[in-house]
Amino acid sequence: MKQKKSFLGCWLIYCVLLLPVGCATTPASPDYTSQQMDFSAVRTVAVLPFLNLSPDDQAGVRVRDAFMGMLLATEAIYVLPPGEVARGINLVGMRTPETPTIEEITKFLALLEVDAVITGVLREYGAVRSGSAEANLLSLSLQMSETQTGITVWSASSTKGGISMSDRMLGSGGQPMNDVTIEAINDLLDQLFE
Amino acid sequence: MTFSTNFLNNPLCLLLAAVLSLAGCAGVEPGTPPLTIIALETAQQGSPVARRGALHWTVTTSGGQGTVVYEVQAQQAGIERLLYADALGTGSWTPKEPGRYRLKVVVVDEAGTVVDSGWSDEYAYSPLFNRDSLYALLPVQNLSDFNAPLYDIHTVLRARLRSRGFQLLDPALLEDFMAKYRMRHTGGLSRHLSQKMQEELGVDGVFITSLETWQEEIPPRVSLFIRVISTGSQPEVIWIDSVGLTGDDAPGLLGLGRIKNSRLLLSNALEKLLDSYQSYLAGRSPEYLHTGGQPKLQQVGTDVGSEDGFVETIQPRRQSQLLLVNAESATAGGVIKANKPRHQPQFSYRASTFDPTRQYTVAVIPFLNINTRKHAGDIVALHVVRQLHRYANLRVFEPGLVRQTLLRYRMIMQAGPSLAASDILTGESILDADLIVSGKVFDYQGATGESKADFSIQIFDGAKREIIWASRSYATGDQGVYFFDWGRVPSAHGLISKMTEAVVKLLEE
Repeated sequence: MKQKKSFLGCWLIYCVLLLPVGCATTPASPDYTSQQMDFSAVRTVAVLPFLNLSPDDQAGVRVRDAFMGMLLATEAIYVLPPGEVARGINLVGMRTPETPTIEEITKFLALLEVDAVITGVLREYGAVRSGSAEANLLSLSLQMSETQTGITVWSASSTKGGISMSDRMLGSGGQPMNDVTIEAINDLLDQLFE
Repeated sequence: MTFSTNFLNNPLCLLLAAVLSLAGCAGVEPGTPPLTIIALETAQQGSPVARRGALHWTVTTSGGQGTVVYEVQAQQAGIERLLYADALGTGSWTPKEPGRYRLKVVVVDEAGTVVDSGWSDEYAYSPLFNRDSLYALLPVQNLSDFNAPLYDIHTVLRARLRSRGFQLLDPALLEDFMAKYRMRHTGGLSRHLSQKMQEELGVDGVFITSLETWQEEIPPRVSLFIRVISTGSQPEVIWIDSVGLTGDDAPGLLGLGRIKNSRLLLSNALEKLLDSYQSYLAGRSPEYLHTGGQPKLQQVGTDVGSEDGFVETIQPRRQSQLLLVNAESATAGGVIKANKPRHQPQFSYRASTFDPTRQYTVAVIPFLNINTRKHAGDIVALHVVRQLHRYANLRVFEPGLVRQTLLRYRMIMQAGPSLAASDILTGESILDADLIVSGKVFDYQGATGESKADFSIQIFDGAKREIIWASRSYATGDQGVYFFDWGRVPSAHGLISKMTEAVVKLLEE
């Protein structure tokens, strides 16, 4: 009987120790949403080319194309076609369209009649390795600046993919890059519309 | 049980009855005569040949409430299809395919009154080409990015066409013509060359062959596009089909069905393509058309401009169905089947204002190549042309005509069409396209290894100056394949064909 009681006590201690572990979370990506901004007034946006920090030269174009299509597919905001954005960049005379200045952003209002511009930084794109395991990873941060004043009204980032426990155990190689891209963009769109 | 009528003597009840009788009159304009069709006049214009002659119609109505909308329907072989729906009571329609057609006009007013004119007399339209038509066979355009025996393919194709009874232009005459007009591009026909071919050589149609894949190593791979263009001042794609074969398509028991000879594969591919063309000439080609449903008026938006500030825009919409006619007939790629989920686009957007049942002219511009092999953009564009051509309400411009326009206006679109570029392509005096299809190709892997394709498509409405469609498609040949290669798509041609088919069907549904 005494042995049974001590066994129960051990279980209780074990459960109490497990409780704080359950409270542990991965830190959420920091995001910023301007409280003064009326986002319902944003009807049309221009998505500028993303700053590509990954080793893949075309990764920025791939991710930007997917983001533009998915943003358009929300039917909440009209996204200017990339050809028209390219024309705007030429007309403004932007040397580095990935990192526009406030003056350049405000010029977009008069030239393309857009309510906001979205810029992005692609921080990671491609396969990552850890030991023998390998998986695709994407890390993207986006900023929205309104064209009246050129100030940033929204900023968020997302990282998806990477090596999971199953990748380590089974060596599956992770998800395809397109699936990871769509997952990350969905996460960013959730943050934008929440 | 007795029923009392004493309450009828109550003055309050009489007052209520008077109010109710007045309310019953609300919404009805006093003296509005009922909507009636006085006459429907139909007449043939020009020659009774498909794509050349037109069918003119004028409808006269009286009465009706508010905006009156005319919906014109055509009937061919018992199948009704929607041609036109607008506020104009007159217009003309050029049949795309040969056949016997009858017209009918359904008129709807804002009160929802629907009046039907009944079917007109039957008008017959013969095919543009027949057994006596003279064709020119252009040299094969190589999009394969490999050295291929183009002359051999051309010779085999010429022999096959002759054996099937097609009248072909003397190769020496064609060579002289090409030298005279310095014709180097054999992947399309410009307006000028098309006209000269008709005037100087008397050619009715031109066979244009594009080689997508040529791989002689085992397993061999061959993918081909063939299209027939009409000559004259407005070259038009009359028929287009393609086929992609690999030696591994049907390995069978112990691999006995494997084909190791690329020439044999080429021969099979050409047979399939020419069978498909003969099936088209016999009027058995599969075609999608919109049918069914009752028209109804629907408020689709507001226009600024009236004295009050806003005016409701009312357009007719119908719950139409997309019907595949001649579904049992095989194309060069086989019988058209339902699309599998793995070939559907990852995401798609279609503008709510887009009406897929209307008639559109479509210009497909070459897709942008993003880090893929040479000509991948041209190949995906040809696939899209082929899929769009199958829809009765769409008229796809000959790619050579689009190329000529892009060159003439020096339009270099490094990031797709801008509004200024679309204005040129949609300009009435230039190309007069309603929709502009463009896109980007991110991956195209088909010559060796597992087939893989990744591309995005964007469609621009020239009149509205906005994007009406955006989608991204990605797939590999072995995606979703778990047992004995069942469902595997070995060629990139087959994969892109299925993916573009799924995209165009989503657009038109």
